Amino acid sequence: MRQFHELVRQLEQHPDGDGRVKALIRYFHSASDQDTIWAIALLSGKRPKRVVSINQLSSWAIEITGFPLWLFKESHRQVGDLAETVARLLPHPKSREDISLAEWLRLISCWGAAAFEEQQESIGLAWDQLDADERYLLNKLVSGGFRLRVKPVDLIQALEVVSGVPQYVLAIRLAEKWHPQTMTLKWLTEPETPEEARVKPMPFHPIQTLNSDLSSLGNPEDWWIEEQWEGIPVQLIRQDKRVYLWTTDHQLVTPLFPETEEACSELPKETVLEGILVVLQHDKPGPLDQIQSRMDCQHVTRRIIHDKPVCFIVKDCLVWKGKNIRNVPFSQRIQHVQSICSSIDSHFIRCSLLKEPGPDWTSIEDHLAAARERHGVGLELKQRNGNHGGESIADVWWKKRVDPLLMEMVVLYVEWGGRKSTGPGYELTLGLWDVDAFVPVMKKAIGMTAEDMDRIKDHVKEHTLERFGPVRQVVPNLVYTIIFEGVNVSLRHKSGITLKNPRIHECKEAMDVADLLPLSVLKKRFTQGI
Amino acid sequence: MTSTNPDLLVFSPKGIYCPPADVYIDPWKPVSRALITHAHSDHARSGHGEYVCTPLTAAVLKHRLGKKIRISELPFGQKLNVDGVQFSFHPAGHIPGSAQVRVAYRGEIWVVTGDYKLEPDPISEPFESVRCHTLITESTFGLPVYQWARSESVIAEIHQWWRDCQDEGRLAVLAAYSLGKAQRLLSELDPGQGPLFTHETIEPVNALFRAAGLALPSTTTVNASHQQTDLKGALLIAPPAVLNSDWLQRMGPVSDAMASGWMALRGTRRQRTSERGFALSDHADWPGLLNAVRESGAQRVLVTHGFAAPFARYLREIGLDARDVETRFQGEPQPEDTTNTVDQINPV
Repeated sequence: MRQFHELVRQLEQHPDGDGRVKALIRYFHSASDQDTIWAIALLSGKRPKRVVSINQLSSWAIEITGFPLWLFKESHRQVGDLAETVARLLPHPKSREDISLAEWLRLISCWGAAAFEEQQESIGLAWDQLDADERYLLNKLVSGGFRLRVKPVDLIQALEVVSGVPQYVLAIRLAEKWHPQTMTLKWLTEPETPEEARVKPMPFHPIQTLNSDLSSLGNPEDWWIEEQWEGIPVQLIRQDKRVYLWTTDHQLVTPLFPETEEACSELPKETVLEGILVVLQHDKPGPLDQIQSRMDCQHVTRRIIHDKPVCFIVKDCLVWKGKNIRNVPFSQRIQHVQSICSSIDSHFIRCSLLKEPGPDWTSIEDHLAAARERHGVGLELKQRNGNHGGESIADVWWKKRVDPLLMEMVVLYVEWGGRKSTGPGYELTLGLWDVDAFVPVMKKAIGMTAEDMDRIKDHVKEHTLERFGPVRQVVPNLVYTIIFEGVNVSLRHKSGITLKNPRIHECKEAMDVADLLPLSVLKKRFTQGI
Repeated sequence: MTSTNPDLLVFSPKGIYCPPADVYIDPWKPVSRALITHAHSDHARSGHGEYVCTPLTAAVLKHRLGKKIRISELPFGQKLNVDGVQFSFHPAGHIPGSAQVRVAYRGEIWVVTGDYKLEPDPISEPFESVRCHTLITESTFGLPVYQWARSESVIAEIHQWWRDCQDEGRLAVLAAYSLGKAQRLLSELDPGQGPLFTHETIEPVNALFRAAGLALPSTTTVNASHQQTDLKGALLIAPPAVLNSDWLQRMGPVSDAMASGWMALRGTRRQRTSERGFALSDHADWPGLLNAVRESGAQRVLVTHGFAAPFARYLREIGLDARDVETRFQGEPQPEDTTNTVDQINPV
């Protein structure tokens, strides 16, 4: 349990992927096989069943310590978590035993079947062998409150380093129905089988951003253009009787999208398709945060599928009825895609819409500029004769984003900090006029130059209105231009919107606050899906 | 022991006051004569006519408040008689030189603890229990969820973190208050593991403590000329305000940690911006506070700064005459009080 507590501490210390993977690798190297399996289970959401409620644990702790109830409540108010309050309230253990995680979980499942008095006695004994940090974990496990999770991709990455088994194999095996009591690490880390090798995701089609003009691509008649949506790129493999949906980082996400799985069950066997997953809003692809929230769902209910239906937009066909066609020109591959999509009667799978650019690029420039009106984020350009997986200018798919939006906003609050992600610096909260007051619209530190830093420093010195800890409210008279790529509706924000990928562009020292456009204009101009 | 004089010490607007001697203890407004328990700024303020304190506290006060202040030194255990009231200092174990004040008058004994800690450390004079009728005690960590682990195990954790930093090529920066906590850490850390650096605000106190004969390992004061490579494998002790400074950013990859009793709780650790929190305190924990009250034999207990209300209520429930009193002492500053703010950017 000591090792597992150290792992939990390190995971809590690192909210980011890299630190977490390192912590997991350290743990997997030192833990026993059974502990490893249990850690994987717990961190991927397989919690043991609740044995007793956290309130029951609290009342036992009060009984043991003899503290009055009000003191317990006062302590809880300071700690903020009942499992931790109980863990820290109890006296130091008389003797500390280092019992393994797997053994504790075996005990916990035994306690589940025991009588009430027996549970109380066993848990009391357990408390007396653990220090406060370990007790906290035990309380969480016993009361079904262990909620720390690690992204599957981090878990699998760490396991690959430790076992040498490719990530996709681990992903397939962990996606099976398994229970930590019956699963063995030996089985999980066996060399890959031929069946698994057949559903290995292929390299994804390289997509690059086109920074130069469209005309740099040469003759427009060699190309096709396609609307670019915000979505999750996936590869769909239909093999035997099953469907495998792979993301670019080798996550197996089939269970998260049952509608896609069902729609693709009619596909010819041994077929590999590439495309993106989007959430449909009013039958149009919705913004990225929608599909991301579907990716974060633990259990996909019928309600979720109804509210946020996911559509697989097919862009390419890599394998057709067992035949690898990656080296066939794109214009032929896309015909397979079109025939597949027309043969399947489902809302949840569609062919991407291609358009011929015409004899010159100017009409395409106009088409690109209007992408936002069509709820797109730009265009993708594909050579008719390009292969899949090649790296020449013809094989690569090029994406051209629509120009970002600009808006002037006024600085409302300044905070010093943000060390972890951006280095030390100021974070600005900028806002717009709404009816009779300024409303914060965004908070950002990205995009500021050294001169901006000095300017803000002077501004804070001269114009601070009020202090809230590290935050200064300043007189709203400093205007900045903000670059952003779109607007999302958000019920959690005071302004009712969030900006997509906002950056601070430049200071507009000459601009008067009275000339700023109000929030309502921003909403009206740019909001999607209202 | 039962009290006969309920007003030997009173809480006046200027601080804890002894009317028969016209003397204040740790007053927060300027007074003519002040007894000072220790040199932390919430207990020893500027502007008093005369300061009475232990010799080590006197040395620190001169450094903090200027050489011109009038100081009378009163070593531990010696008695000072003022108009029939007998004052004496007794070790409080909080930081080197920190004292409890014993006040005796016509057979009546009161003790003001100041800040204190029961667990001994290598440099502070160990806490001495003093019998009294009325005890005025702090309660910084006066909730039962605060129970310190033994300091050896916390120091071992710090060493492990330091080793990890050395392996990863990061500078270990440990935030600690420049008077007391920093020196305690220095005295307990193993200088064999790597070079020990200190921030410039810490070194003057180190010098005073060394001059007083306390055993501190040798340290290097970090300054603007030091390069990243000079600090390879080192542990730097710096005051909390330095954690967010751009000065620290120039030192290359760092891992920052905070040593404070508040770090005992997960929630507090996570609110902090520093990566690690070590629960090492110079204050008594819940069992320590209860022990101190019990050992003093006091029937009446006045509880000051910290979780005063719940601690006093608990004392009443176990049969003592206790109440909480408002003061301007802070004890161990809460972590959020020490976060850097816009106008405190603090390069070396």
